[in-house]
Amino acid sequence: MGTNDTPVNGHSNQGWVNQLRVGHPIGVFTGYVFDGVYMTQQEFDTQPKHASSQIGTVRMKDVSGPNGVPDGIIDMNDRTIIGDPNPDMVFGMTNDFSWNNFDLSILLTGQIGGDIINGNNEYTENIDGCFNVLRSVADRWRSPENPGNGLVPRTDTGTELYRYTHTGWVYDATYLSIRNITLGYTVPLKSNNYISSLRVYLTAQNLKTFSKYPGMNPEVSENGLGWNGLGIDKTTYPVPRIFSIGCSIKF
Amino acid sequence: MKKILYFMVTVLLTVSCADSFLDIPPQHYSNESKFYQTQEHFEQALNGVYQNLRGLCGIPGFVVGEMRSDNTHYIFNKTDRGAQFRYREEVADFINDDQNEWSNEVYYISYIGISRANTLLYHLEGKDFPEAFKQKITGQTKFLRAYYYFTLVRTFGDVPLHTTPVTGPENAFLKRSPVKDVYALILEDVKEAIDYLKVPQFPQDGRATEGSARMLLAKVLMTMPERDYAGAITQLREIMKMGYKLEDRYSDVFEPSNKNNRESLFEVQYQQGEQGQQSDWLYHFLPRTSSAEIMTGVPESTTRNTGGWNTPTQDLIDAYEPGDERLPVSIAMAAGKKDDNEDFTPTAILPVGDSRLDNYPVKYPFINKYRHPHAKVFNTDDNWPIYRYSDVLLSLAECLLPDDSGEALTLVNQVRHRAGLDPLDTITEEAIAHERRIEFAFENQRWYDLVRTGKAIDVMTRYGQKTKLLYPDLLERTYQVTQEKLLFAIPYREMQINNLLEQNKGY
Repeated sequence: MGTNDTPVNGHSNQGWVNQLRVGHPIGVFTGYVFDGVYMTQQEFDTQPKHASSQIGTVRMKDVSGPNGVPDGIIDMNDRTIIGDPNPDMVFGMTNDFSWNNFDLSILLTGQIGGDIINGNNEYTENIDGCFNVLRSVADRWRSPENPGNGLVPRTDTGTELYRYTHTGWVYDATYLSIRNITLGYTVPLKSNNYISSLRVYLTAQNLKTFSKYPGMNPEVSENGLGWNGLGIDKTTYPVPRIFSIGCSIKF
Repeated sequence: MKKILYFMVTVLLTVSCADSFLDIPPQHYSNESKFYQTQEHFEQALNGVYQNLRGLCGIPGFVVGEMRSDNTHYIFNKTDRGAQFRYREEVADFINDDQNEWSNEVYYISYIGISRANTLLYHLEGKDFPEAFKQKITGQTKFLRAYYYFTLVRTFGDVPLHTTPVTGPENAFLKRSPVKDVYALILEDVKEAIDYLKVPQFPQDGRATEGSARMLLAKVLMTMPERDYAGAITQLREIMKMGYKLEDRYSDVFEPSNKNNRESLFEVQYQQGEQGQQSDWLYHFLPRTSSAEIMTGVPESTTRNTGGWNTPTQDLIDAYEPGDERLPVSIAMAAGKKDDNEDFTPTAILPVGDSRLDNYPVKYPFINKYRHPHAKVFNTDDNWPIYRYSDVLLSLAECLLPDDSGEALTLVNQVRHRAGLDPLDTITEEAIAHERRIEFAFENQRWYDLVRTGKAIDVMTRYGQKTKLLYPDLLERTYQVTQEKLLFAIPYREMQINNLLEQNKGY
């Protein structure tokens, strides 16, 4: 594929996350593997480092060096495949019930497997000091005596490694959604010359989505169905819940 | 009847039209099969090779050529830490890498220019035009190609040498050629350009002339690893016979109403207006503010998202001698106040050192050289100077200094006299370097001059120590100026696509 089978896309620390690579599913995620924070001086001294690392900054896994083996340096060679937006299974189920004059129809859809990246973390976990951030940032590393929750590094300038796409942003996109639930009632009418039938109904679309994903909605992508943006939730407008009420009158 | 039928069928089965009958090129835009046919096509193609220079005079040019040096820094913006701004800071602070957008742009833009030149030359070969026309086109194209390769070799070192158009994967991927091979090509190209181009006619029209080509050759001879100062002297003396002269006042050199004047050997052409030919670097050089009208002269103008870059350093300001007319032309101060949100509002533009500056709580220096009246926001009329006659004089002085300091002194004093300064009595290497720093401030020459004269590591290390004291937020790892940092990294994407490339040491 391409010249020298070079992977397409996925070459940058920020943005350009999906990649096409021979031997892998379309649109795999590329990024660093999150490995915690240098909590103590001893940890900092003995572990692989990035050019910008100091005690208290984020640590990414040293996956590889230019020769294919870990080299003790965290750089572009340590970016690797960190997720796959393609689900293992997509399913749906339609259920129709009726009782007396009531009818109830429930459509469930869902997905099993597949990953989603919460791209909003690029902003809400950005500790450069110019954005509003998640509550967890309050537990950041401040000093060896006050190391916080071990997940959020210190806020010194030049420590941009924490801004780059990494496994901390990757979640399981498995979900089950009550896509459409309609409750209708056919009003019993005496026969007359005006109305032959009357049915009223109440419909809810996207009533509830069950998912472990902490972001807004696991179904979204950045670029519609395109591979470049697949499975990335980055301020995409979430799927709305819609209630409607209606009636169907036959004359 | 049947016979006629058989006959017709036989004829239809045995004749056909040529494949090319069905090959109709798109009618609504030019493409390679219909272009490169007439003289006008080649003039348009040549314009394309020129036009590409504009990319090198924008952000990539001043980030790599000026911000990297001790002439300029930046105004730290804590409200926007976006990657494109961070990359500029990283070049200035010597923590750049192979992902740096701006040094990578220098690479890409130079190769776009080279590819346009290669395509033009390939198609020009064997065409039946008058010899004079072919020489005119070839001379300018080869000058530009030499200029692009000179930019590449000074910025990246060894680079792949493409001299023919790339037609497919089979000739797209080359190894990096050693520096001396790149210089061999540059020398070949620029010498052919000198043969074909004519001496400048005044008033000039902005195209490359024999003067521009000889200046490029002189610069090359003064920069290449095996220096040839004697050869450079020959070139510079030839230029001095061509009728160039210094403008009366330093400010006249940069006036948009005075483009391509008698001092100009080569400048990149721009024009304000609606056709997309305007320059805009002024809006990067001014301090960040929502009320920029006092500086730009254009109502409702803002530099909120663009400004605060290539900011003159105190180190440079202190280097100007008292009475140097170049200081008020080159640098001015924006004075005003900041509100609670750290937003700056300038209320006065004053010269450097003016006593009224004490009345204002906040003040920033900015480049004043290219600030001229213009009609629309982000749309200025200024050209970018590449080679000027004062560069001829100072370069000749530099070459002559070891053997003939008398003439060197005269040349330097000519430049000083134009700046309103007293002549020097003696001349040293440092004096010439200082004069170059002041005369060509903000023309993207300082970093390359420091590297060329072997002073980059010394000067920038000392400057780095000063700057880290001035801006305590700068990290420990900034300003580690090593031999490896004298070159920039080959772009990461190029390394991925072309596995024949090897990265520069230290990246």
